[in-house]
Amino acid sequence: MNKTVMAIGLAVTTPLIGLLLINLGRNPNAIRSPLISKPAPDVRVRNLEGGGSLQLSALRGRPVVVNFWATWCVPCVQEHEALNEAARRNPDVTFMGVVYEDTSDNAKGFLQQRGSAYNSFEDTDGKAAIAFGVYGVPETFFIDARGTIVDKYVGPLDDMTLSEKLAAARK
Amino acid sequence: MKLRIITLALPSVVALTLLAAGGDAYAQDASTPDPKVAEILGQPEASAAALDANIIAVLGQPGGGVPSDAQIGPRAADIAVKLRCPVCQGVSIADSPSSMATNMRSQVRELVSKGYNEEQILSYFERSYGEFVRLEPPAQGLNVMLWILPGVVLVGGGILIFMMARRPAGPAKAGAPAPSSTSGTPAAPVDPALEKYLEKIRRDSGSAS
Repeated sequence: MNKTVMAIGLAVTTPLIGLLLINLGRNPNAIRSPLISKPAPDVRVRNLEGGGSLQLSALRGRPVVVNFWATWCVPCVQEHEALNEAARRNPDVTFMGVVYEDTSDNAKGFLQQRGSAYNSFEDTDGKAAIAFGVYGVPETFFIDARGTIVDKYVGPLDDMTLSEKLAAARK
Repeated sequence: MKLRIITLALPSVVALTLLAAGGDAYAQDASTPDPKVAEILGQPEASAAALDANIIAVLGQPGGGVPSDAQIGPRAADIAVKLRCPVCQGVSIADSPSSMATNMRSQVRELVSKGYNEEQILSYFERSYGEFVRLEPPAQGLNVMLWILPGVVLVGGGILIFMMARRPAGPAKAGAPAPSSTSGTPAAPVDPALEKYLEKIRRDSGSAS
């Protein structure tokens, strides 16, 4: 075996294998949202129960938690009570649910059965989900009083994580 | 005595009623939402123009003229093949039947019909999903490598192969001589030990033909 060929081969393959090994544990879908520390998209969503719609920018001045959810999503069902609890305990924060790829009847039925301490909204044609760069549910965005997205959480939230992220949104 | 029973029973009746109403009390939460939200929802509906507040905030005014109805479809289709479906594996939104892709296609169509140009529309999706959403990464910064490197490797490899093919085999490596078949004369120096065998082969093949 020629030593030069060997050296070149190693020089090319070693960094590649290293890169592979380092990134082996990473979730290829977990891309950090480009929206973090950017102004939240000023989406408009329709009130799920009763009429009226809400322009997100109207909530500026107080922290907002936007939770994308669906009734077919098991982790969303899991986190629902934690979100309810947090909404009751933090009246200074506006919590809002946005229904993602689900019928409003399903969503209404679910909320009637389980109860909700905050409003949920319909997202016509998934525009809000696109504007927030949602990949799936549940995804939760934490917005501060200036309307800047401070954090995004993918997956079911628990009490601990929620209070941690809320503290960041309050700063 | 009767009164006493009633007074005793009253709290439990109240408790039972409350318990029975427990489920409703939960559901009532939804009708007593955040006062701020209630206040906003109570206001009259905003005009249709306000529906696009986010698009205006992100993209500003359309960069092109409003296209004719016949132009919208083909233009939207051109853009759809350049956008990655976020919930799929390496597929454009034009090629995916998922509802996410369907929603994105209709959003593209809407933006096209308003007169936004291709670059504006791609950047709208890029703002929320990052550069990942572009199936053709723009040739900027480190991305330039993506476009140049394959060409460099191809040309470099070609030159390398060409040079190796032209280089005569070094004497150290010439374990087996390669006699030229075009003429009878040997092209490379021949191992003296093999010379007589080679001579015999030449003679044999010469008499056979």
